[in-house]
Formats: sequence, structure tokens, C-alpha cells
Amino acid sequence: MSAAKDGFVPLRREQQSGLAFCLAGLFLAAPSFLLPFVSLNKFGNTRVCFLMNTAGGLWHNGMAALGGWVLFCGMLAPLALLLVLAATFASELAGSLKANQVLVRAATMLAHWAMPEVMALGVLVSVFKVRDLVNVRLGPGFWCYLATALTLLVALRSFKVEFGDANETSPEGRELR
Amino acid sequence: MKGTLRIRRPVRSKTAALALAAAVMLLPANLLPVMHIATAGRVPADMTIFGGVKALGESGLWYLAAIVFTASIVVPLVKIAGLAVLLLAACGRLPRHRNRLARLHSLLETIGPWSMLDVFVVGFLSGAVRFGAFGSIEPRGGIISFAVVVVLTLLATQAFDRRWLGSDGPPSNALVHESQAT
Repeated sequence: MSAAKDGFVPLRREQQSGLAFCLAGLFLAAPSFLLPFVSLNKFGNTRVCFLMNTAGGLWHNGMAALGGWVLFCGMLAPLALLLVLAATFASELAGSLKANQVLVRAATMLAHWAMPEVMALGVLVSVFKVRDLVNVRLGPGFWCYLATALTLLVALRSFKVEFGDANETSPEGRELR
Repeated sequence: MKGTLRIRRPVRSKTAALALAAAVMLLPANLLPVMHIATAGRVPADMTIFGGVKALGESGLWYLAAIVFTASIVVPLVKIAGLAVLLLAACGRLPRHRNRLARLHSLLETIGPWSMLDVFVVGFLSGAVRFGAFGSIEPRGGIISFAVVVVLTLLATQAFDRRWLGSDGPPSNALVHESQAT
């Protein structure tokens, strides 16, 4: 007797692992926003920065649009992408085709603008760049953010394996990065 | 014998306009300072993208200098040159090696976001290093131009449709009159 006849449909490994990584990423995203991102010290003055502060410098120097853009690409888009990917994998596992098409399109769009790995590298470059000006220590928020970025990359890989062909033949005719 | 008239699709104006605008914005992005560094005991200085790379190299961080140089200078140039090649191929001015060109488009999509590195660096530093008279880093206009270059190249890459590359073959003319035996 086949598995389908038993009412049991085997879940696909890619979908399961993709969903697991998305949930792990979402779980790690909370501390990355709430815990100290970096702490800087100059002549005894200590300044603790959180993830949201990283776009604040641009905002306070009259570059609100650019600050918003950094906020979007570095924080909001990755978070939204994790949510959408989790929903995509979940709907795929649940067999909801209609919801899936909308979610796949949203994920494909968001994937172009979510750049947490670039931002993580940017923070590391910045830390080395100013190490002779101020004492910098990376906080737990940064490591959680880095872990979130890595889980997003792995989840995107699973998404690409699952939906890569669909994207190629979609009206947009594009692939995920 | 029956003659068929095959008319080439219109010029890919949206992608071309975005790529051209990005190429123009590269000049202010690289010539204007992207940040201002003021710290106690040192002369305040404006820094361009290349100046930042040079400073990293001079302080012995050549590996970081190489990363920033690649992400901030090489990647935008490669993206604009790559888009030009894709557009010329799509317009029939270059031979259409579809697989190679599709790989080039994939490469441009992959490397595209990495040119945001300098924007994140300036954003982070200007938000974090704020010690008043002891030391501060402020963004300058060049970073806006640079961010515009990044966004325009990303949009141009997204606007390019691989189906424009058609199939492998020699460059086609704008208007091709083909005779086909039917």
C-alpha cells in the first residue's frame, strides 16, 4: 500500500529544512534588535549602540532617505523576507497553491533588497577601520544578527532549490541571487 | 516562397536609462567625500571612497582595503560594463552567446548587493562614532551619490529580462527580411 493511500504524504526535506532555518532566523532576529550591537569607548566615555542606531547617524545628519534605505535593506527587508519564506515553506507543506504563488513572488522581490550579510561585513569593516580612533567591542546583538543573516542565506538556498525553476519560467523570467 | 518580416523589439530603454544614469552618478560618487572624520589630536578630514581604501591600506589592513576596493569601486564598474554588454547583445550589436550572457546576468545579480558595503560602513560609523569633541564621523554628500549608483544598477539588473537575449546566434540587424520556404 502506498504512502499516499494511507493518507500520509511524505514532506520534502528542502521545505522542512527551509522552514526550520526561517524559524531559527526569526528566533535570532529578536535578540539582534534588543541586545547591544556594539559598544564603543573613547577616553572613558562608553557608548552602546543597538541595531536600530546604525541607520540613525544618517538620519540625524539630514540624510533621512538614505537612513531609511539602510534600515530597509539591512533590517526590515531581511526580517520581512524571513517571514515570507517561512510562510512560503509552510504553505507549500500545507499544499496551499494559491497562497504559495503570491508568497513566492513576494519572496523573489524582497530577496533583491535584503542584504544582511553585506551589512554584517560592513560592520566588521567599520570596526577595523575605527579601531585606532576608538575602542570597539562587538556585542551579542551583532553575533545574533550575523547568525540571522546566515540562516537567511541557507533558507534562501532551500527556496532557490524549491522554486528556482518556477522563477526562471515566471513572467519576470528571473532567478534569485 | 513566402517572405516574412521580423522586426526587432524596441530598444531596452528602461534598463539602458538606469545603467546610463548609474554611470553618470559614478563621477560624483567617487569624487565627492563620503564621510568626515574629526577626532581629538588629529586634523579633521573629509574622505572619499578611494581615500578610505588608501587609508585602510596605509594602516596595514590591506585585506580589508582589497574588500572595500572590490565592493565599492570594482563591483559598480563591472555592473555597468556588464549591463552595457547585455544591452548591446540584446539589441543585436554583439553576438548572442545566450548561456554566457545569462551567466553574466546571474553574476551581476549576485555581486550587485555587495556594492552597498560602503553605504553600510558610512551609515554604521556615523551612527556609532559620536563622541562630540573627542571624535565623530559624519556622512557627506558623496555617499548619497554612491547609494544612488548602487540602487540604479540594482534596478537596471532587475529590469533586464533574459528573454531579450533570445537564442545563440550572430548579431541581428534592426530589420531583418527573411525568406522562408513554407
